[in-house]
Amino acid sequence: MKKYEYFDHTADVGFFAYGKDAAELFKNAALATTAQMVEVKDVKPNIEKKISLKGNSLEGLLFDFLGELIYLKDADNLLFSRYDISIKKAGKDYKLTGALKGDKINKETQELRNDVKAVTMHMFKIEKTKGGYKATIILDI
Amino acid sequence: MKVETKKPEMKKISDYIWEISPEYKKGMNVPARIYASKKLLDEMDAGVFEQVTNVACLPGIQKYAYCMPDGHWGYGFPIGGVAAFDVNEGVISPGGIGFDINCGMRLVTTNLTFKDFQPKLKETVDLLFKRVPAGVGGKGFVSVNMSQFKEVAETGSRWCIENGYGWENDLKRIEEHGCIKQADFSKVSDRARQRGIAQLGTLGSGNHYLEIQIAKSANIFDEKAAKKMGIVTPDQVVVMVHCGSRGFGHQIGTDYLKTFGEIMPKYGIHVLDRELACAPFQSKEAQDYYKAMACAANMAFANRQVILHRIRECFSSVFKTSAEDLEMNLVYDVAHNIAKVEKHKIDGKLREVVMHRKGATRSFGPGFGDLPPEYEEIGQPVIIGGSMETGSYLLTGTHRAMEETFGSTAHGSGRTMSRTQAKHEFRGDKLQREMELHGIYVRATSMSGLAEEAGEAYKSISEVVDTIDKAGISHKVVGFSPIGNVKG
Repeated sequence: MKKYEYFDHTADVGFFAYGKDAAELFKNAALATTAQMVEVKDVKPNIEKKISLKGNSLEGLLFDFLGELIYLKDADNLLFSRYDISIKKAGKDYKLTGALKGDKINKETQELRNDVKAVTMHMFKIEKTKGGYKATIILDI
Repeated sequence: MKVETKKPEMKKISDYIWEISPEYKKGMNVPARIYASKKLLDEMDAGVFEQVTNVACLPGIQKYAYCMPDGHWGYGFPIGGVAAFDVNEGVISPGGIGFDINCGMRLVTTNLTFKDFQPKLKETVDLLFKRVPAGVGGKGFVSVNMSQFKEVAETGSRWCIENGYGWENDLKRIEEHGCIKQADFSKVSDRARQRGIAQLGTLGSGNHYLEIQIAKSANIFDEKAAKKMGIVTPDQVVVMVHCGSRGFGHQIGTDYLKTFGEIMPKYGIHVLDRELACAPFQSKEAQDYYKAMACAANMAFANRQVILHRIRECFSSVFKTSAEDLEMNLVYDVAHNIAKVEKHKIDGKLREVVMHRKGATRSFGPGFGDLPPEYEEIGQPVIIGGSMETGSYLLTGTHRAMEETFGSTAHGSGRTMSRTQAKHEFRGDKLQREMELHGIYVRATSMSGLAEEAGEAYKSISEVVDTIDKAGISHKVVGFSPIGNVKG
């Protein structure tokens, strides 16, 4: 199964992410987002950051999860290449817990690309497919 | 993937105005108007028409939902989108402003000519590249603590002048004098504060840049107006800056997009694109957003102000002459992603509206707004940045813009090719070498980012500028040719 694929959007960057379950979908969406900012293999898993998010829908949780990666890029100067996360349903809510592994931004050792500004809500959706899940996401670049 | 939508039927109002009737889509409160030459209209992607007609459905919209000639498919509003909403009956929508709140343009003159400057071109660009941080993340060259950052957010460019980053005279030549007074830092989340505090004095990436340009005599279209704005010598060197509020604005946009999405049912509002989430302008949530948005707008004014200061320092160091003696005067600073309360004439009466300009520039005519005395006769300077290969323009606002488009015009050349496609078509390092052969020296933090900004990925800037000039919503004054560029 493809992890993600970009599609044409005139101004910004659109991609589809896939996963056999929600956690894999989220990881692949994180990978597609990170790959806009940096050559992912250049980001060594030297620093670990615990993560815990809650949302009342899977879509809301994915929006917040990708938003967290963008937030940490600016607030803590960190980019991540490994996303060890699990997603569980807790009553009406969805809960994401786990750890992100990555490193400080370093233009000497990492091939840096574009600064992702935000995840947009335009066309944002998660669909159930035969093989699991598919998400449609447009990032503001 | 393309948005496979048929272009709607459009009524030709003039050679440069095309109208989509409210019958096109259920829920449209007003018609949509596209400002474009036939050529630009034919080239527009279908997403533009869907998005501008979605905007026409928002509550309290006045007269028309507009799209400017550089319009293209964005998120929420199209890029090039303009809409005015009644302050009492209408809404404010973060999707009509963009995440990069107060992304804008700043233009600075020098008294150097190309001949004086050319031998120092590489040295100057290299120094600017070193001293103005650009690219992903990035720590700015101005360090502030949280209480100082609050002052930056609430007072904008004024904070910079009081702290030695600029000249008192700069303030007169900035939209809103570099400060939107409604700013209230208490309406900004801790996350936005943390994201923005280290980024004062950073360019960012994507299409943001700092460019050295020249005004060739063949490209001076109105000598009198050009002189008023300080363009007085053929081949004069100027500097243009394009950047915004960085992570601070991006987070404020994200925070309130979520809030508005949650509260819309409470106000009985339904939108056709979740990115158009909005709230009645008089509601608490909308007022909170407006106050937070103003903080981001002020941070952007301050960001461009400290960058101007650094540009002056760099030129001064290379030419061993003070910035004052180099006459590095600010021509103007305009926002092109913003919402503001403005007074406009509607049905013969002056009324307050919440103006949304997303990828659109204010274009106030002579005698309107907050213009300094020297510009009262010519109107507000309008700065339109083109791609890094093709050039940029300085224009002025017009009475016609006040009458037709709520004092609004285009903002740039507008993309015509996606970033993904541009990366397939061009290679950054090859492009850099080719541009150097054409006399444009570029330094970029990212080669793939450079490829995405290739001139051919954009519409023709001259077609866009000729359209707004001929449509009468701006008046063409000077065209600039790039010679050096620092790209984020």
